[in-house]
Amino acid sequence: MRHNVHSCFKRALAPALCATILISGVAAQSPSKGRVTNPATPLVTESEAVRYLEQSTFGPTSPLINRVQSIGIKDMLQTEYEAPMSVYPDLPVFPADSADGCPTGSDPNCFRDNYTMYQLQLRFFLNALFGDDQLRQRVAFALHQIFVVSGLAIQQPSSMAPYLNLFARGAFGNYRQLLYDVTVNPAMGAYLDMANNDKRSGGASPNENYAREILQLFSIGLYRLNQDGTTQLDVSGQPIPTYDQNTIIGFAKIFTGWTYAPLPGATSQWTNPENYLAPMVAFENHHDLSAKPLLNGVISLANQKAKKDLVFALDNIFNHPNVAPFICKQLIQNLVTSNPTPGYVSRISAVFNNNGSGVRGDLKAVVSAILQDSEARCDDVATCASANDVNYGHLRSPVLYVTNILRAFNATSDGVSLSDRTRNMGQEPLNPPTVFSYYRPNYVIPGTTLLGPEFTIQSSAAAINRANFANTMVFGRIGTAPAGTAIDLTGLQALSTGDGTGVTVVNELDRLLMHGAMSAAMRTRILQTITALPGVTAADHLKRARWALYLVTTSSQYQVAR
Amino acid sequence: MKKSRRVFLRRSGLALGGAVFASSMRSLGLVNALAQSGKGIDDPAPDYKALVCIFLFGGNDCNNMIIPYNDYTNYATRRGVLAIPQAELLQISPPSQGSLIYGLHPKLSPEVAIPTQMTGLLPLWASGKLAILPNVGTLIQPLTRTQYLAGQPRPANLFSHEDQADQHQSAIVANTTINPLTGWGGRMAERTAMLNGNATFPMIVSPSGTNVFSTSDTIRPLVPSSGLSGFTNPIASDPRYQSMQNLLTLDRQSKVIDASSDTMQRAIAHTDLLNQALNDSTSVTTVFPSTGLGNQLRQVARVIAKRSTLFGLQRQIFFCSIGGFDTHENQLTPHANLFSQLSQAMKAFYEATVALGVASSVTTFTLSDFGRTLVPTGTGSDHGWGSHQMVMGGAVLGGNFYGAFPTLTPGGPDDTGSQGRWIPKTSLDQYGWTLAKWFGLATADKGTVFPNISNFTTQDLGFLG
Repeated sequence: MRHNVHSCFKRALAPALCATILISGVAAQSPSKGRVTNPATPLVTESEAVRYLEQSTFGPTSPLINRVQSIGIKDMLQTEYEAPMSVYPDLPVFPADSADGCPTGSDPNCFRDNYTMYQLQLRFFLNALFGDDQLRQRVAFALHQIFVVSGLAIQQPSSMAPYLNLFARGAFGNYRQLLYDVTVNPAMGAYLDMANNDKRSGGASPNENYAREILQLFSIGLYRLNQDGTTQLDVSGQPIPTYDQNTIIGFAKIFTGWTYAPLPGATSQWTNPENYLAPMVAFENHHDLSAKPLLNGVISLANQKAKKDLVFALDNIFNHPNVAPFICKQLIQNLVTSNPTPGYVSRISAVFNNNGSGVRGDLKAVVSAILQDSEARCDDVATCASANDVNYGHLRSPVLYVTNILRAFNATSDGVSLSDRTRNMGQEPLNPPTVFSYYRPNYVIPGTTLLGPEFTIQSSAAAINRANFANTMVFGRIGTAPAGTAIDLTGLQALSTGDGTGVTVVNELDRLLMHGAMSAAMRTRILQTITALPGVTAADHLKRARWALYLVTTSSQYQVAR
Repeated sequence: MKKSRRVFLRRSGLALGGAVFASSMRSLGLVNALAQSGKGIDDPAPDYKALVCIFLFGGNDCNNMIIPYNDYTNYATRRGVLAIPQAELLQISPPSQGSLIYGLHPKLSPEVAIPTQMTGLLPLWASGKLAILPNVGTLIQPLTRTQYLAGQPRPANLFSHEDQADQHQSAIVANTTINPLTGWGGRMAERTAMLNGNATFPMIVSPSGTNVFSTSDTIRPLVPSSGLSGFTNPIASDPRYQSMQNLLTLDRQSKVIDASSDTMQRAIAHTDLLNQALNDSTSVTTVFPSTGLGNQLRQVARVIAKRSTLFGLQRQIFFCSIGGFDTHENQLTPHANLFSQLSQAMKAFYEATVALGVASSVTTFTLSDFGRTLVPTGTGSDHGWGSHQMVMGGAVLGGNFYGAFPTLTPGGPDDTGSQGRWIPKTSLDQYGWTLAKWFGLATADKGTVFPNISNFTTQDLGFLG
């Protein structure tokens, strides 16, 4: 099926048709390697399997829960590493001016399909909902939230797809390689102005945009960090900046002399026209040759060629002690919990600094360690962090909120309108509003001292729009069948029919959506509500199932993944 | 009349529950307010005041916003490819600047060049409803170039977008990674809440989403949305709705769950009432430009139109924004377009306040991350510090500059270095306090809302009458 989907994108068939192909594949989907149901001796408790999948996928499904229980988390991770990679398709390059690309009389969807992220957003949701490489896609999405290029600025999807593929490929690769790939990628070059950044003369400074953001956002952050992610303070209790304006100017000079790769068949010149399909190329006579102040008092040698300078500078960044805690804490926050203990961050930083084989920056080892850490797992309820820290966990981001609900109930989807839905909740995938992404890792929940990155965007409107998404899915669908998105409630309905007390339905929601963590008070309230409804006909039981599902998915107890 | 009253009662009852409901009825003076507004026209509220923040995200290039006209040659030389032709400038003569003439960017009044365009801000400058604050920005204390180079205290993380946008919204300019951020709008709302009696509707409405400015420990902005869908009518009698509300009260020992439930409760409590104002297309007849900012300001006007009849409020704060000001490359045309959008939306909003009879009760002001370098970097400009801001409204003593215009010399007395990043001569605290004092913030609360205000001799800049 995967091949069908890929080729349908390549042939630029209507997305809805492609999606139909995909869905039929998904309907038949099963873990290809040894599906196990009701394993006799599970290696992992069901609740732990669900929690692990909340952290490592776009949402637990019953087949995956069985799988994790039967093979254990370590083998499950291995399976994830080996799963075939879902990539964004090559799309046709259109003229820079949409008036040329979509002249009067064009297909009414010409602009949407070729000058917005629409097609890639469909693909994003299809990968998230149905891809077998769940962990890879989840980590790729987390990495794109760190290394932001926004589709709002890079108009054509054909320009963005190669950039996004860096993260699918790099999710289990090395951070240093990813840093290089991102830096010379033309989408980043265009977004933060490294492309065509010329050396300057007469005291003028080259463009500082990429220099500033690679340090502040992609690698080390503003302040010196301890390996446990806490901020180092000077003798007067103030944080210690990692760089100053002179460092920015130094790096800005490093990043001079790069332009787009020549178009096929064209002679390369300073500057080349935009080309998003190949890494940028260097022009030595436009590269600043002065010695440049970098991090930690290091000064680059004068008269180094552009690429050598770049490699030297990226190594200078990569070897800064901040990189491990800065990057690892954000990945923990994205996957597991907003407020990891310093010990947790410290353990993962150590893996970033050395994967056990002397390699620094091994993201596969980092992700493995994050998900297997004692603070992520809860093998013993008496001692585990999630059970003992009442503030553990994180608000599901809008994308995770949507995909978790859909995946739990075997949704069919063509992906259409899902990005509109999450945009109304504050997160439109591939289109973060700025290089600072959708929300900020250091956001403090107002009135508390707790970090809550996802609360940056949790407005009154976002809260209402989440509930309205639940309403749409529970009581209706997006679009008209067979297009659109719908969940399958027949299983839940059957559980209601089979148990007039409602307990079985609520247990199932507790198991699948809340890994068994529903409080007694919440359970009682939901049971009261649904058992007050008639329970005779099939329609009665569908209604009971729907009400229970609505109440769980709109609750904060569900929206906060713990 | 009856209808709107019934709707309001229903919403309040739903949102607040019986006990709170009774007190909110008394405190709002609701019955009186409703009884008096039967003419379908909102009575002017003589004591009403509103502040409207327009945040220019990305860092507005102030150097092309207000341009020295007499000393144009120096400007043009320094700006190079970014220079706006002198002949296109909209000449203004602020009395505070002696006999010097300055030029507004031509797109701050697009109708001058192209008469068919919607009007911008020049007429408001001419009629004294628009003031300009040159070179205002984040400061701990007054700072000269010499002091700056000697390492005297300055705000943390200058030239960084997120930090400087936060600082402009929070007025907290020290390191922001340790303390939770609260906004000066939010803190001001907390400390002026008594001016709204016991009204329960939020003082701050943000058509521009969540933001630091509007947030404090207890204050959140209300962000418009369509409202909850899927319940039977009347919603309060729907058992599923009752149950959902009940679940929001449970398990709140987790502060994360608590924060999520609190957000939802506030949303449910107020969104439907807000929508009664926003969905009334007859209350504001002024034509707004169909731009993002135009739509936001029209929403603000519609809320203001119902300030007493629906909300019972004497003080309101609004947060709007327009993005795209981070003009690192190819700056000229996009920047000009942003000025067109900004000026036309502001002008339309002013006209709407005139039509609503509240022009002197509503003061609109701009903020941005920072200014930008005078010296271009390629075809754009880089992150700077001090910038120029605008204040608009019937209470504004306009047609004038408040504060010193920077010397446009790289490496000169106002530069941090050699690229023309201006050290502010007026602090955000002075600017904010002048607005807040007019709004009704007590002097006793000055230092809580503007922590560094005591470091400045002149605290009220005098641009509001």
